Amino acid sequence: MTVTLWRRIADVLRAPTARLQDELAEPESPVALLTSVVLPLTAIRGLAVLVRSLFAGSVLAGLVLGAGNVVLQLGTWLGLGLVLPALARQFTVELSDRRAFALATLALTPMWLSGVLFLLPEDWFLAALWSRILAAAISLYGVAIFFRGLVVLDVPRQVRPALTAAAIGATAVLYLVLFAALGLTSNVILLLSGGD
Amino acid sequence: MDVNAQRAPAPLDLVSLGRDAWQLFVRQPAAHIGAFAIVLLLGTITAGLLTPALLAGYIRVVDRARRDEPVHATHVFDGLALLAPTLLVGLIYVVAVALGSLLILLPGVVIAVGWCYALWFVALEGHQTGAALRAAWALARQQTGSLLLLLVAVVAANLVGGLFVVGALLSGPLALIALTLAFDQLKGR
Repeated sequence: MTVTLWRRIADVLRAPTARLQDELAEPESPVALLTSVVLPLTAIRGLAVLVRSLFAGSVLAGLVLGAGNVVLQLGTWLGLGLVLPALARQFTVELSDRRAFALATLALTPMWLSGVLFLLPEDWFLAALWSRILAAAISLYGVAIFFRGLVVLDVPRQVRPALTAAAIGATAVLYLVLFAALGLTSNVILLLSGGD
Repeated sequence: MDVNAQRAPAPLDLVSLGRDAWQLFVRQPAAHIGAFAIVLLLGTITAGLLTPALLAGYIRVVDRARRDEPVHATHVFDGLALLAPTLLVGLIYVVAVALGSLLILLPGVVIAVGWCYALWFVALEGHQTGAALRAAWALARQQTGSLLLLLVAVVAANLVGGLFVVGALLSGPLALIALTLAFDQLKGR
């Protein structure tokens, strides 16, 4: 199943159920998803942070934070894809690794797309605040996609809300831990390299 | 598309694990809180040098408690008998995670998860440093999803517990008890 990235994005935004049915029926391997979907989409936020920093005159900080933001999203995707089968088993639902990664990819797509908001200069009309809130709101659409994915997968109705809530919690923890580690690592790298 | 056609039992049941950890804790809460406080206090005073040995001692305390043997907070000092291998495991772990994290973070995270059970192999199975790291890595490779889920649950519990002083005194020992109980489950025993 070869689908262009643009088609995939358009489907996720316009008709997620049809896209979920296609992707979950014949899920691609995690490696194929990584190269064809995940890396290009996570790069949006990385590039946005880099461009913003270049305009602010902080090249090194832009490179470190840009790469760091890609890794942050990549790590969250990888963690969620690995955790989902074990999480599903807590609810006696069997979910294959491939389907778990396909579902994680579709559910995280809105968050990756919202990365374009990181282009906004942080000191511009409190953009750092409202752009992050807007990005979080856009990311929440991923919750609806995840829930629809469980419907497509015929997961029993009574466990769908709990499994969705557990997946949100796991994603939040993964993201927070990686975010904290990224903040620490970025500061150390910039300090060691004498950057700004 | 019926994904439930083959329902599988969870190799790691978080609900029953949490319940078992809680039951073990409430049997002797003072011993667990005391032992955890000793680990924190002496670990801090010694700049972390004694932390791995004391943690190994606490892991043994939990192991005794689950076998219904009497335990006391001072039993954590039994871990000092394992000072050399635990200190080496701790040092290698910290240095490897730090260096790995400087390579754009993810290698550090992979090492942190992959070797997270190394101390348990020293404390409960008597492994030396190299063997413990290898065994922990092999366990993480076999049970990646379950182990990651367990760590996510432990971090979540500690994040919630960390919001309150009393909560941290509960979530810290509970996390270590849960990790110790999960050790056998992850190994398939």
